[in-house]
Amino acid sequence: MSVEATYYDGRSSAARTVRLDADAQMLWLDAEGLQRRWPWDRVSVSERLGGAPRLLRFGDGTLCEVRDGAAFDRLLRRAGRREPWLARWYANRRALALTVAGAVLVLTAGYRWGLPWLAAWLARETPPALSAHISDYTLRTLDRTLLKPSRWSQDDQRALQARVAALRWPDHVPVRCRLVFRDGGKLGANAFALPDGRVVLLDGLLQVTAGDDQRLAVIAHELGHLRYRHGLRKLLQDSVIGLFAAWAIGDVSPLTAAAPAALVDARYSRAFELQADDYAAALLRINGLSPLLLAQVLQQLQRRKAEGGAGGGWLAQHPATAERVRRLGDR
Amino acid sequence: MEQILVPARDTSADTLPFSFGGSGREYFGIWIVNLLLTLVTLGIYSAWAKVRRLQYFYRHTAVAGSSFDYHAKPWSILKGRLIAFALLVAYQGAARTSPRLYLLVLILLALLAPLLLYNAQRFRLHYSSWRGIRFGFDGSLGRAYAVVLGWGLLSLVTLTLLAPLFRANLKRWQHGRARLGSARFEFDAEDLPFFAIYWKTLGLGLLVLTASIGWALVVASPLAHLMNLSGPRGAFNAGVVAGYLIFLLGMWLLVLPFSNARYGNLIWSHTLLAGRRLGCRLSAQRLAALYATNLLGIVLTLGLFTPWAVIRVLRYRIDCLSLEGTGGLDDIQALAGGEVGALGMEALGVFDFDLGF
Repeated sequence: MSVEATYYDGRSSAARTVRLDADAQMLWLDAEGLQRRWPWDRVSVSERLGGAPRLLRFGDGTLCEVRDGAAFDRLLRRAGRREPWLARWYANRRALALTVAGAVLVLTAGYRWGLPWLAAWLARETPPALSAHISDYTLRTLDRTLLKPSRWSQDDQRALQARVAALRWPDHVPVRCRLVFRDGGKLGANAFALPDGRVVLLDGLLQVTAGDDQRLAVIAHELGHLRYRHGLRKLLQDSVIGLFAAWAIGDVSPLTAAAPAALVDARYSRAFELQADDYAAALLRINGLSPLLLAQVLQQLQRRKAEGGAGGGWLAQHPATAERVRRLGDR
Repeated sequence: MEQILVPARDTSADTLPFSFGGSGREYFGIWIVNLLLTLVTLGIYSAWAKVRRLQYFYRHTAVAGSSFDYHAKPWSILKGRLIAFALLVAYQGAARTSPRLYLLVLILLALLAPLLLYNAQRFRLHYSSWRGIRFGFDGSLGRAYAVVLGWGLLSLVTLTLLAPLFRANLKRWQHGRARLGSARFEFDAEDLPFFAIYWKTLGLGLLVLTASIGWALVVASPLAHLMNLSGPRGAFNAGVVAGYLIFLLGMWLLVLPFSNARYGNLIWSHTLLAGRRLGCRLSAQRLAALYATNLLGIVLTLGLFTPWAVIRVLRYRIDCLSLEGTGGLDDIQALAGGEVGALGMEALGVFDFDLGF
C-alpha cells in the first residue's frame, strides 16, 4: 500500500502531492509527470517524534513530508527498516517507566554518594587562602553578633596553647591548630573548629571542664574534625548549590555565606563524629593521656543538662553520648 | 525533464492559522529520557537533548499544511556550550582575582555580546526551515553593535526609562532582517506602542510591590504571634518573607503574563512575510491562568508536570498565531548559504541574555 506525501523540490515552496512506496532496496515516488526512485542509502528519514510528520530528505536536495505516521511506519516495516533505538525508547511505556525510576535512582545515588565524594575531593583541593577566607568571615560574623572577648586569664590561655603546640601526632600528620578564646554568652559550653585550623573555645566549656587535660580532650576531638576536613566537607555537602557553584563555575560566595551557621551549629554525621572520637583517643594516648578524659567531659556535660543547666552546644552537637562513652572506654 | 509543480495546498485563504499537534504525554517521554541521559553524561548530552526538543516543537508546528523543521548539528551546539562555560569560569575567576581584572572582563563581555547575539540569530534561523526552504538572517554585525551598545547603553544610562527604544530597535533588527529563502520579513511597529506597554507593565509592577509591602505589614504581627517569634525582629523577618512571596507570585501571575501577551501581540502583529501580516492574539488572562495552573502542577508533582506545562503554553502561543491576508506562499525561492557556528547561540543561553526570536 502506497503512502501519500507532499513533495518539495528544495528550491521553491511549491508543494506537490505524491505517493510513496518502498521495498528492501529502494524507495520510490510516484505522481503525475513525476517519478523518482532512490536506494535507501540516499534517503535520510527523520526519526519518529510522536505524531509529528516524517521528513524524508533525498540525496538530490529534494524532500517529502509524510503526515500519515501509522501508514509510513507500516511502509518502513515492509521494507525492513528499523527505527533507531532511541526513538523506540521514548515511545515505549515500559521503557519510560524505567527511565523515571532510573532518573530518580541517579539523583538519589548522586545525592547520597556522589555529593559526599565530590565534597571530600573539593575539600582536599581547597587552597589555604580560601579556608582562611571562610574562617575569617565566620569569626568576624560571630564576633559581631554573638561572641565577646574571653574572660579567661591570658596566662591560662597561653598555657593551654603551649600544650597544644607540644602535641605529638598519631599518624605523623601535624594538624595546624591555633586556639581562639571567646565568651560565648548564650552559646554556653561549646567549641568548634574553623577550616583554617583555628579552634574556638568558649568560656562556658572552659568552666565546665576540670583541668587542662580534660580541655585537651575536647581540643583533640576538634582536631579530629580538622584532620579529616569535616567542616569543609559538611559545608560543601549541605549546600548542593554551594557545591555546584564551587565545582562547576568556581564561585564560592554561597559557601562563605553559609559558613557561620554550618560551622557553629555543626551537626556532623555519626560517621564523622565517631571518626573524630577515634582520632581524639589516638591523639590522647600518644601524648600520654587517657581517652577516658573525653568520656568524662561528655558525661559531665550530660549530667549538667539533666540537672536543667544549659548543657551547651557541644553536647547537643554530638548525639548518642552513651554509645560514644562506651566506645572511648574500649579504645 | 522539468516537472510542472502544482500547488498541493490551497494557500489563497484570508487567514492561515498556525497549529500545534504535540501533546504533553508524548513530550514527557522525550523530556524524561533527555533528563536521564543528561544527568548520566554530566551534561554533555544536553546538546543532543536540545536538538531533539526543538525538533519536537518545530515539527509539530504547521502552517498552510506544512511543518517546520530544525536541523542543527548537536556537535556544534556542544562546542558552543563548552566555550560559553569556559567564558563563565573566566568571568568568575576574574571576579575573585582583582576588581580591575573583573572590570576588564565585564567590558570584554559587553563588547562580545552583540557578536554573540548576531551569531545566535544567524545560527538559529539558518538551521530552521519550512517546506524545505531555509530561513536566514541578513542583519549586519555593525547594526548589532549599534543596537546593543547604542540603544542598550542609553537604556542603562536613563535607568531603563528609554528601554522601550532598545527593545523596539532590537526587534526591528531581529525581525526586519530575517528571511525565508529569498522572501524578506518586514517589521513595521512604531516606538510609541513599546512605551505604552512599558509604562503599563511598570504600573502593574508597582501595584504588586505596594500590595506585597502592605501584606507584609498587615500579616507580620499575627503571623509572628502564630509562630511564637519573640521581639520585633522576629515579626519583621516573618513580614519580609511573607511580603517577598507575595511579590514573587504577583510578578509571576500578573506582571509577566501581561508583559508577555502585550509584547508578543505587538511584535508579531507587526511582522510581515511575502505580503502577509502575522496575527497574534494572546490574552493576558489566559496566559496568567496557564502560568498559575502550571505552577501548581509542577509544585504538586515535584517537577514531573514540567513537560505538560511547557506544551500547554507552547500550544496556546502557537494557536494564537496566524498569517493574514493574501499572498503567494507557494513561490518562495530558496537561497544558497554556508555553515554557521553555534557559539553565539549557546553562549547567550548561559549568560542569560534572553533575547529570543
